[in-house]
Amino acid sequence: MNSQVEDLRRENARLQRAVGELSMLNDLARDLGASLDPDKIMNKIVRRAIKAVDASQGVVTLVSEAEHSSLKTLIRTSSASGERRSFHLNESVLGWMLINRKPLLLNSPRGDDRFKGVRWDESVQTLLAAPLMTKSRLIGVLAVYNKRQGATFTDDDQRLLSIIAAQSAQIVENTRLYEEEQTLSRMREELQLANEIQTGLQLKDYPDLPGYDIHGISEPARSVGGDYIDFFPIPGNRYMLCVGDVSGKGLPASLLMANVQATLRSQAVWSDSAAECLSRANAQLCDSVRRGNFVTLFYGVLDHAGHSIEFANAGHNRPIIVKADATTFELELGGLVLGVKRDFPYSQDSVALDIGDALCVYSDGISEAMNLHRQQFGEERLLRVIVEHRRASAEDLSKAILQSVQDFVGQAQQHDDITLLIVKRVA
Amino acid sequence: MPFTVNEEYNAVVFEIKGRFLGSVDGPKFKESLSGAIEDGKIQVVVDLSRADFMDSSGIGILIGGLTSVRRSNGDMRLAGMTKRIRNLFLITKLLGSVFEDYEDVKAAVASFQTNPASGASLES
Repeated sequence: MNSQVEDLRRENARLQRAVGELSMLNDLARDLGASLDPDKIMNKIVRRAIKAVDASQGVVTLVSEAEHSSLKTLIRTSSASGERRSFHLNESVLGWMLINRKPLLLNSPRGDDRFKGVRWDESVQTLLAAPLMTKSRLIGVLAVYNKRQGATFTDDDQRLLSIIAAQSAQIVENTRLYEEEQTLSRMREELQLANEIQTGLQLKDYPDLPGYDIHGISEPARSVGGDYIDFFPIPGNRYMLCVGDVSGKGLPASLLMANVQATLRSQAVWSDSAAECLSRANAQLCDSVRRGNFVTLFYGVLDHAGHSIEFANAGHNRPIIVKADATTFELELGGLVLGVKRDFPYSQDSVALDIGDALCVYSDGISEAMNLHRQQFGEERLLRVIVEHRRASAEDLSKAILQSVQDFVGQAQQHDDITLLIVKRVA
Repeated sequence: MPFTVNEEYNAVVFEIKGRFLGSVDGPKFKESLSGAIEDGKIQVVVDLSRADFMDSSGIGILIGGLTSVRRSNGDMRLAGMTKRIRNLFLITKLLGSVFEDYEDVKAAVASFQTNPASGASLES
């Protein structure tokens, strides 16, 4: 009789424990389902685990499988809670878990043969750890330390922690995937923003200057690049014309380009000469541009009454002039790229435009366009198209150049913007 | 790895191979160079003899590197440029006014003996 009562009491206690565990797991599932914030989720897992097995501290350590070789870099994130200071999961435990991928119960860590020579943090008395696995991949470890009241962890504790770990793993992995998705979506937004900035800076139409035919194109590559094209009235009945290339890609390049445009437009108004404008712009950009960024730029000032172009060049491809009689020449004067060295002495030159002359300013996206055989379009091909189509309108000439580049590269993917500005004197 | 690091005599040599793209190879190059500077290795040679392509941000990485080395009173010198890359540095006028180039690594390393780093800053 007594033994039957005893059995019943034991069975009752077991059932009660099971009900407690089930309700705890139910709470955990509800808790975890409600959040997508990885820190919050891991905190909840740790708190529930501590409570479930009556431990005093706990930690979730996430690992990335690609970096198995170096344990130090394994810890991506860890979330700990408990009394006293939080600590990180011992590397030896992490290493053991990577190999064995099963729960680990250490009630006397210092006497354990598997961890000989390991220096345990003096606060660690007992330890219980379970792997976080998704699709047979170890994504982390859930560990709790120091059972309360100096007790030791039991097999029941180990079973319970394993269930918690199993239940948590997929959710932790989901938040990680969600985080990745968020990052990707942020990157897409950034790219979109960069695109909008760049499109906003592009010229929509060109002024109707008597005796001149002006046309520009700028075709961004797959990723947002950093070509810059501008044509802008300045005092003295003149126009500044620019084609440039800022280093880098994406949002930083777009912002730098906006900075360059603002700098040039303001300095152009205050400068008496092309060289002075580049010197001023260079000094200003040296102050504001991040180290390692720079801008190549051809800067010209068109005097459409005097039919001449005064120009200075900061490290940009030499523009080409084609004459009605099919002769061509390059504007050879060069100078250092902008944004690198403050006191570089820019100089200038000028060129007269006769009727029928066309100035072609282009970016290296044209000359360096590459086909599938890794050959470059090159300046010779460019010269040939320009000469062949020299009698065409500025728009048709730029279309012919673009078509020729596209025919040359064929299926090869371009990684640089293509930018071209044609200024043609027609009368 | 797009580049490897060696030490020759009294200089640290970065050999860049193939395509050098700032966005891809930049961070590692920067990290590696910063490590060298921290160790007091401020005579730096960049061997470009096996580099066949460099984009604008790749050049930017070298400019940034040069600035860092010069700040520590050292210098970064280029060696063995191929024609294509040399053209790039000529058009941008970076050669001469910013970078010095040498026939090969040996000449660049030796240049530190005959012509020690002046510590001239780019930012003055």
